[in-house]
Amino acid sequence: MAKSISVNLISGRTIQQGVAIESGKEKPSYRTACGIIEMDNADLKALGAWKNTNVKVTSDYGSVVVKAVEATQGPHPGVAFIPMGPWANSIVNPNTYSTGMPTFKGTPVKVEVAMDEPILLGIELVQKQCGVIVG
Amino acid sequence: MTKNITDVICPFCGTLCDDLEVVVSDDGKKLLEVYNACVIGTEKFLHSQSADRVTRPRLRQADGSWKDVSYDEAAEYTAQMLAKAKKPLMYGWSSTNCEAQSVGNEIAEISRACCDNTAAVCHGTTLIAVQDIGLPSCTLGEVKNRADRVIFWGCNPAHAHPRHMSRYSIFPRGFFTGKGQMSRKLVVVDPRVTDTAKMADVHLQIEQGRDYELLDALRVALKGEWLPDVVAGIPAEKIREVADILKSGRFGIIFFGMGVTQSLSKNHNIDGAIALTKDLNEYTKYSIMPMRGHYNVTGSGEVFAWQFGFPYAVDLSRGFARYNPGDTSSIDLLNRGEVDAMFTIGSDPGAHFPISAVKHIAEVPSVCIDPHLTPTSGVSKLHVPVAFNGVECGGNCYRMDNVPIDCRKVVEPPEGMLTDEQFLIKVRDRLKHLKGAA
Amino acid sequence: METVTITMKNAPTLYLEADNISPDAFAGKTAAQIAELSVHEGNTTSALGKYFDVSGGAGATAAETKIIVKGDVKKVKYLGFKMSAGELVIEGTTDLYVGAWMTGGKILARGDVAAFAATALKGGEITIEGNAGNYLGAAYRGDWRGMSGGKILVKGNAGSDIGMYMTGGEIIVNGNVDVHALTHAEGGTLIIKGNAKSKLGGQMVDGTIYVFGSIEVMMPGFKPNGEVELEVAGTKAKFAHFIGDLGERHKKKKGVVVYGNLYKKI
Repeated sequence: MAKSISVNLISGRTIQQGVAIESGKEKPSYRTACGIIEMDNADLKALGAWKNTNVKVTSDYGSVVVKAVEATQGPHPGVAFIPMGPWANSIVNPNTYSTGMPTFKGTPVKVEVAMDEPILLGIELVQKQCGVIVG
Repeated sequence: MTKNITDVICPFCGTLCDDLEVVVSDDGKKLLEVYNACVIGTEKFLHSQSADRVTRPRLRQADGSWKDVSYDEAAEYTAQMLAKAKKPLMYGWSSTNCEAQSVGNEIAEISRACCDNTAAVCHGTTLIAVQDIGLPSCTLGEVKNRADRVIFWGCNPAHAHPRHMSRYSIFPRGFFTGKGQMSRKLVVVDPRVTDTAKMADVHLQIEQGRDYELLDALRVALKGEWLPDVVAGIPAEKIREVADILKSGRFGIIFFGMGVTQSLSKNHNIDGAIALTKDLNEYTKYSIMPMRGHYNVTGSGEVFAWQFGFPYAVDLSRGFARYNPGDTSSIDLLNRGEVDAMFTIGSDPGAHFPISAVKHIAEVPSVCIDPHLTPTSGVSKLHVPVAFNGVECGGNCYRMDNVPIDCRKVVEPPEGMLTDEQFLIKVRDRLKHLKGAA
Repeated sequence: METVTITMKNAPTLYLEADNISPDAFAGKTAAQIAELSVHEGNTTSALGKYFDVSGGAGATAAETKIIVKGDVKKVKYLGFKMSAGELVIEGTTDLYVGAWMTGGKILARGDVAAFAATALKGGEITIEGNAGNYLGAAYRGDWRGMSGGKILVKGNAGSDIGMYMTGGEIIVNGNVDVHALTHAEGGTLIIKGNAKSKLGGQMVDGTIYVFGSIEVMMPGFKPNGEVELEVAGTKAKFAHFIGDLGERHKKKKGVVVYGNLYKKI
């Protein structure tokens, strides 16, 4: 059992993400839909994590706490998926290679179990990282 | 008595479905039911009715709390911000109508702003490739009636464009495709076994980030030239087999999405895919189409191109339009610290830009025009809620195949709320006055 | 040759577009006249003298003018824009479009240069002692004509998309290069002394690439074509030869198909 594993992170749409953004990004349903990382069963085993455990995902560009869930559109060993949203964007590679487009797909990340760390709500997560004072 | 409204347009994705039915209350103030839409479209219509909706502009105070202000005060704040800025960025535009976009362009011209739409984080790299080598495309109607080879490359319509497959690309029975799905061969290229890939005749589970190599290999295979044993995790025999499948159709269509525009190679992936389409036209008829995300991102590109000559990432700071993604594009402008004010409308960069860019939005004066509460409104100084375009006001929109469709108003907005266009006209008139351009 | 020295005194808050800092714009002007030339910060236009101290004086023509740029010019764009003759020395690191559309003369950058340097370069020499950014010697957005002449030497590393649509001239990179070097090239030479990433020479029609180090992933359109003994940039060595990109269109010369050439040191 490894303390942490390295995977290739991609992000993108899911239908749950689509419904959640239309029903309100301030709501917990947005976190349920997008504050997750879809991982292959083999990778979850290698990490020694149960399904639905909170994990900390870290890249060269930041880190974020999300819930590790079993991949619904797999198998894809070595590849992990966070639906597009502030959780994924806390850690994606912002390099545009001077094309204007960040590298949203294909960021090497490290995943480790973080059972006791909370998963923030979407707006809260962005405000906290930007240092916005909230009244 | 309730009223049934038919032929309603769905303002969610670029498929711009035009067959919805909604039921509204007799006085036209309440939207009760939605038929024919996908689950996301239904949610969009119904959420407009939520009781906790913000209906007045709000200005952030020093202690972080919000203070309600009038639309006039909000327009004054916005105009002042744009008038003072040396290089404001006006971003978004994809969830509003073309009429509002055009007023926005007037504002951009007066304030000499940088203007950009959500193609920046979506199909911007597609637009680069299109300018480089062109785009042999068609309409979705042609796909429905003719296509017997359908390729989804790096896109997952089962999740992102839920009714695309039933209305146009896989299931419908068209004029020359009378057997529906039976008349089509479906090829999906994706590093995951997506719900779209599960329906495919052939799924190439490509190594992530190697699309450019695989596209090149397909072009080599079409020419019958030498290939290495494995390309992007796919054996050469398989690549040759797929090349033969592609060649053997009567009408083929390549749909592509974020899997290629956002992965390494970006514009070059699209460049390669368009080149492949051109090569296939030596054998049979082929077209290629980007799976545009927002329902009117295509329209925003059309309006920018019509008025400024370029479809996104336009820099007007010197008084004339310049375009060079990498220099004039939103993410680069923000990450490099090139702009000193942020104006957001009809999109959510706070949720969909890398956090490094969002941090810069939080540092500069900012206005967010959006009916929803979003991470962008959460980091902006002024939040201006407006009527839902396509639900509470009509206006022109463009489908992903560049077909213009007029959205319809089906229900009244909450009392006293302005539309995007009405608010922008207030800002424009105030700005003209400030700049002495009136 | 007369020398003008400009030194940054008030660095811009945003970025400065200084397309007038070139021997061509300075030629025949006194220090005071040069300080009057316009520069742009966002939508505001100011005199060059607001940001820079100007000393010395220009020669009568561009060819007789040498410019030395001192101080913090990290946020200055377009140095040496469209220059045709003379010399430009940039003492520190600078931003986008260095030597863009240059047709002659010499630029020496002692630090790093950011993206789009030497865009559509036609002639002259550019030496970059630090690292070069993306799109070095490439075509401008939407153009199909990249660098067509002149020489570029990068002593550090270079970014992605260098020499895109290149049709002539030479680029030498002593360090490593990022993805997509010489994509769509129709001529010209690229020498990489270090390592290359993937997508090297993709959609290449013509032109030559030499790689002394490793190639992360080879493009499938490049076919092995034996080995050759070559002398490249003063080094004699054995190279593996590849031709490509076989997926792309190719011209015929005297009835023989012309391919792009890729040589990798063994």
